[in-house]
Amino acid sequence: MRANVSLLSVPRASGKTLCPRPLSLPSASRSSINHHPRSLHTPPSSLVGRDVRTSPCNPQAILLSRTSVGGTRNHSSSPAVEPPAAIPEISEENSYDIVIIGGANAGLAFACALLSQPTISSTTKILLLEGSSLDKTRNWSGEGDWENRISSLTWENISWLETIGVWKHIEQSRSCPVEEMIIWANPSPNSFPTIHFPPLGHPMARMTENMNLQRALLRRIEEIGKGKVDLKEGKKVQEMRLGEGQRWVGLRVGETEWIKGSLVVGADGPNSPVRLFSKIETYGHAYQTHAVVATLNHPLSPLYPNTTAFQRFLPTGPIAFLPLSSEASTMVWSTLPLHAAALKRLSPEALTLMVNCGYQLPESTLTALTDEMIRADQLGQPFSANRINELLASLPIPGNTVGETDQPILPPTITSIHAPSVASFPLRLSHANEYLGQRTALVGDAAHTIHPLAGQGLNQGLADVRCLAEVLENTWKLGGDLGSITSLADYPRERYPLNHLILSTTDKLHYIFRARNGIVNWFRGTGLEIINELGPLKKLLMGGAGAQPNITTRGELSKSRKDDEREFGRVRGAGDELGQIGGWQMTAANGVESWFTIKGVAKMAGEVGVGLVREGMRKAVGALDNRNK
Amino acid sequence: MPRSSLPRNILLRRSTRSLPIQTPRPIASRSITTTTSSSSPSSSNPRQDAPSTSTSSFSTINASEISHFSSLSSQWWDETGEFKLLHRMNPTRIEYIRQKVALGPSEGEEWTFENRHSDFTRESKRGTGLWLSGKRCLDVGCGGGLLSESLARLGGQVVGVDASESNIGIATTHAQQDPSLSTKMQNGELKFVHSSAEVLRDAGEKFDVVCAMEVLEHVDQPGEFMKCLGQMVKPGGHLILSTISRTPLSQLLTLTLAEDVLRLVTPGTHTYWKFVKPLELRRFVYSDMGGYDTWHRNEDASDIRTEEVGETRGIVYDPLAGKWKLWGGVEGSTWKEVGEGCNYMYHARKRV
Repeated sequence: MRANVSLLSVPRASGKTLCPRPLSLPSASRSSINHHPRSLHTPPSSLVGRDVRTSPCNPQAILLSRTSVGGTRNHSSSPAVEPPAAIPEISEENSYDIVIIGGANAGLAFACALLSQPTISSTTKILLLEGSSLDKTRNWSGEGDWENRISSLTWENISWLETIGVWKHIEQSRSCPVEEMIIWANPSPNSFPTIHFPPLGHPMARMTENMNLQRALLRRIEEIGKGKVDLKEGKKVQEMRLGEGQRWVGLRVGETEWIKGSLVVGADGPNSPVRLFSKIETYGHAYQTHAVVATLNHPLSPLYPNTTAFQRFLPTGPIAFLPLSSEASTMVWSTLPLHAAALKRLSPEALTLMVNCGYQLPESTLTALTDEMIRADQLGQPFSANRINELLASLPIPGNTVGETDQPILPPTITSIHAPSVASFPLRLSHANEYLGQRTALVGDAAHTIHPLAGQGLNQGLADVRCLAEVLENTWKLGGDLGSITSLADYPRERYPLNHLILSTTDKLHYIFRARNGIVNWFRGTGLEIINELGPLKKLLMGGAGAQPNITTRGELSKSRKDDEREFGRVRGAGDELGQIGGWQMTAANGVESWFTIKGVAKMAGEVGVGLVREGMRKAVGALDNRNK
Repeated sequence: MPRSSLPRNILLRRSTRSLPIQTPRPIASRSITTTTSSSSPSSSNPRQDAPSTSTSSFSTINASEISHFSSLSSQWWDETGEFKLLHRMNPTRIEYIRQKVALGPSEGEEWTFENRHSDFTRESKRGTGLWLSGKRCLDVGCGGGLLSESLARLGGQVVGVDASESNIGIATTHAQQDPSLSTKMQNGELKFVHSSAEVLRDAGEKFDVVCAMEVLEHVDQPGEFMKCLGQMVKPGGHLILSTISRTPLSQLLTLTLAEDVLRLVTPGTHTYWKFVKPLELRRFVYSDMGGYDTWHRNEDASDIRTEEVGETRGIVYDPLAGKWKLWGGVEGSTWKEVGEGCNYMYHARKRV
């Protein structure tokens, strides 16, 4: 399967991907006007990607063809196929200005973003095409078991969703605020560099089920989109072809029905058929990592509100603990594919124990335990809970026993796991070479996929659709052609570098935190400690991560306690057997903060002084002038 | 203060006859094409065979210019080719039109600060949606129809005129292929006509918005051409031009850099002496096209721009952002004049 996925991408320099590019169309020839009407079929094998739930188009079935592609350059290299039959006349009601393909997060959010733009919403015809039925989203009850597709929505995006009228449709009881965040790695018992992101006065992010968000978006579309956004569900795109003069894209849905769109927006997931049609290549690489997700149950804690996100970096990848409610949380354990498979085969009881160990055991002990797990799994006898308990009793644990490692704050100990929620998926970094094709644009996962360790995937997609909607509004307000490269150029100009920065930073974090050798450990440890102690730098990091401290909050959030009153999530002095954090580190941190304060005050005072002197001199010169007259 | 008809320098260079100042003349400036000046930098161009004969169907069209643009016509819609800069300029021009036509004061509305410097409410009320709907627009020298198509999308009833038949062919074909514009063409809301401005004027056509984008520097008798445009503006309507100034800066950017060095534009597209300065244009409309009886004065500069009609505004290419920007600056300031040193827009509004 990996080979198939990698077929869609440009081989990385390291040679991780195996196959040559199937669509070796030079990007330059895409934009030139050529007059060789013929079509180009890709080998079907290259279209078999990994199963994506939200992909509305059937990748195997889609016939990739266009009336004019390429020049004579690859005339010989690709199989010459008869030009397909002409597109039949498309009726007026099947002609749209914007066709959105994909009815998941990005597609629905894009429709809402377009509806929030005055010119676009009042004068264009928009179609949202989803391959499966949206009834599951529409009828999602908002109660019962937690979905395992959960995303963190940053404060910035929540604010945006509020302004476009989506947030009011969110099931608030199912959206959990993340007030603070603790990130740590403990390569050795004596070294446990930690970053603690303290509360900001408003949630940094909210953990929200994708279904919750999608239902809210759909409700907003149905609320204000009547007659503006047409929803076509259960219609798979069978064929896409550029129309005459490259002024529109023809989409065949079903056997004979054709749809015309001036601009086709691909919000159709990582194996985007729109991207294939546009002959846009991606680059990136698969991580040798699968993520295991599960919903965790734990008892209500009187001491800690369950609003803290935890992430521990293990040599195999990060394990994250993300709050859902006071008694439930979700886990994302990114680990080697072999380990992920073994974890999935465990009984719920055994998995519960393993997850607790994953957060609590010192690294060496945990490694020994997982080695045992793999061994047992390969023998065909998955670990039982008893066996784990036996091993825990026998394995050497440096320092302390389970639950009392050096890490001062740990996630709550879980009591059970919701078995149907356990799932795993491979992780992959990919970025499309371009976001724009001929009359097509890519948003969300169709343009980029990311390691989930920073929780940025969905947020990037929302930022994409927001930006693209603004660009289209500006274009349409000035009478531009919605699908032309000139009109859309601002979208990649704004989003591409930002997305690339997030993708590469996340990629590097993944490797830095995974690595275990002396030098890297030292740098990582020292680096994290410095970051953690430097208030201004940390604020910068948090600001960059999408949490904007300067946005005024609504009333409900003012209840959260201030940073001063708490320490690592607990109220100061509340039976804290660990004692106050102090010592020379605290002194140093206070010193650094004082230095910045003094510097700021001195700068202000200096400016006032300079201003006074300048004013005085001006007055003196004026007086001299007067006297001379 | 000398009141000029169109390009004074041109006059001095191109004609041996000295022209009486302050006298409205039927044919201004470059109309005298019978005398040749050897000092003209590109006098080898066969522009002298322009149809300036004394026939009744008089035209300002320059034959060599037409053949030049006809030869380029297939490239009009290649957004990465010859007309790349023009494609990028289009949204900025429309933005200028929007500021003047949609956001400017309505007829009879009092001039206030808000009228001229539109705020968000005014902008969202009047400057979004089909803000050009119901307006009859003329695009003189439409070329491949870049501006006409945009105006038609905004709801205007647009007539595009070009002297090159191949341009009209390209424009018609291109608009017909667009799903939304093809219906507009069937309804007659968007028309492309192979004709000249003079023919339309003689037919008695009137328009709410008359545009001539990058045309003034290509016609033979800019004065006549301007008058012809002015006569086609309805009372209360707008006259909007974009053209290039005649300064060392425009020599450097338009001719030396864009044409000769970077080859963004085919060499020979522009001729330096044909460029018109903003001041000349404003003064010409005052002196030769009816002055303040016919045109609104520029209220932004009513105290400094006496004996001048309309507003000029620089339009400057920002290579980093890859787009054209409208130049700011206070009326009468050097800063504003610097911005008008190369490409600029001109707007004048006719009184009711």
